[in-house]
Amino acid sequence: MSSVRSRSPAPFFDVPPRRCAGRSIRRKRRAEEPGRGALSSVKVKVDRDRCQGHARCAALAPELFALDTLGNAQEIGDGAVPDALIEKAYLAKANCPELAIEVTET
Amino acid sequence: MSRPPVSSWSSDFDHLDPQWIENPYPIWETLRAQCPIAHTERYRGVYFPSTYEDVRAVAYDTEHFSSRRIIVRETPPPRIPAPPITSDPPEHRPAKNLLLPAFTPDAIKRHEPHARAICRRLIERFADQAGCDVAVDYAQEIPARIIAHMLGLPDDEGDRFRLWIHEILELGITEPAALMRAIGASSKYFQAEVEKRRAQPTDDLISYLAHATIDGAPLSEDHLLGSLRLILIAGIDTTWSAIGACFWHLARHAEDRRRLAADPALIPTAVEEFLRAFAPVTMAREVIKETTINGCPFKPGQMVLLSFPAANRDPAVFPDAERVVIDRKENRHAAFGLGIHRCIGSNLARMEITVALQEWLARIPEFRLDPCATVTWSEGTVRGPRRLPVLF
Repeated sequence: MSSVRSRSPAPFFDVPPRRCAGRSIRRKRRAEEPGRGALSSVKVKVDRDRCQGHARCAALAPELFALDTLGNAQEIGDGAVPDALIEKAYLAKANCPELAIEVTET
Repeated sequence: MSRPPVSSWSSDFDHLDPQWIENPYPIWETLRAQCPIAHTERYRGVYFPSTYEDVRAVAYDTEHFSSRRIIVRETPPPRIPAPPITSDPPEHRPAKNLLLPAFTPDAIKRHEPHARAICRRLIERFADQAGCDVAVDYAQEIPARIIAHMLGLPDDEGDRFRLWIHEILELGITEPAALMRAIGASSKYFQAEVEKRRAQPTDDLISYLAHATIDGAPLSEDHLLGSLRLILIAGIDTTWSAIGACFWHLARHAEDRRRLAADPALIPTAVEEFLRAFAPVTMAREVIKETTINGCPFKPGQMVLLSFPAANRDPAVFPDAERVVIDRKENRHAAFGLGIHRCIGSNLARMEITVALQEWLARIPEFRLDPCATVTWSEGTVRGPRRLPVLF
């Protein structure tokens, strides 16, 4: 993997990561979070090799997907989907141009 | 310039033919049904896949299809690198990763207030008149000003930038001299800007790239100037065309226009549909190794027109593909490309188009095409209205 950097002053786009950085996107999660409702048996997962950073999932379901510093997506936490967000999970999948999102029901 | 008439769209197509420029969609629909991968001997041999599946197959296959030439021209010019769009693996990834942080949704959000202010100022210039040319007075000005701001350039040099774009992307297809003139002029211009920032670093994109390294080594001069030219060109022409196409639709469809004016929350969904239906960008690839796709052999040395606009009209993937459905829910469109060359500026383009529509509809909810005027379209790589007179 090549390393890229710049010695220019911190550029205007140098945004501090809001929700995540790199591969570790974690969230403390209890079985039930305030405002999120009970977790369903549905899970989402982003195939990081397929993802090209179209960012549709994070726009349509920001509760389930976050972007890293390059703009590529990953599921938040373990990808477990609260009941109330199941429709959004499928919407994100249906709008991913790279077919990088998997929704599974256990 | 007059061109020999097309004898058959499947075996003699010409993407500069007036009929193709004016309205290519019926041509592509026929091709999909009769000959999904068209070919022409013009331009030294070009293939045209018209289905989503075949466009996708070419876009994903970097082994047989190279990005070193991304525009179909009459005469192949000397190699003009513009990393990462002209890069193949393995050089592609580091060149792209260098630019990506500047174009994430969060990074782009910072430019939204500026974009809004630009749109409002432009609208104030003509809001009290009976009409305007949306393409000239509005659409073309927005992306030029925003990308200039990101690069750290004056925001009133749009005419200069648009001349280069016209010479590189349109005239340059048939006139190598125009192409080389614009490459020379833009290189010289960026060279001077780079020198200024080497002496005095600033916080803009030019300075960032001028001081950037890949694996510890600074970018070559060709890489640096090529990337800057790419950001400028790709940042202006494409979004200008996309914004224009939105207005072309809304000026002729009162129901959609009124619905969006009444319900601005629907605008982002509608923008995706406009991007699908009127995707502006057709890329190209050079066949570098013989291969077969969908039963059609691809010969090395020939080019492939990679038509994301045609893929987006494929009824096998998009029900009711020829209709603009502004609340389409499932929209896996390919307007920003597929695979490793996904448009770096997609988040910027989405923001600009959305803001341009929101600001306009809030101020001018009622408008229609000027029945006395003629709408004209750009030709070649990027498709969008260049003249679009409307009445308020």
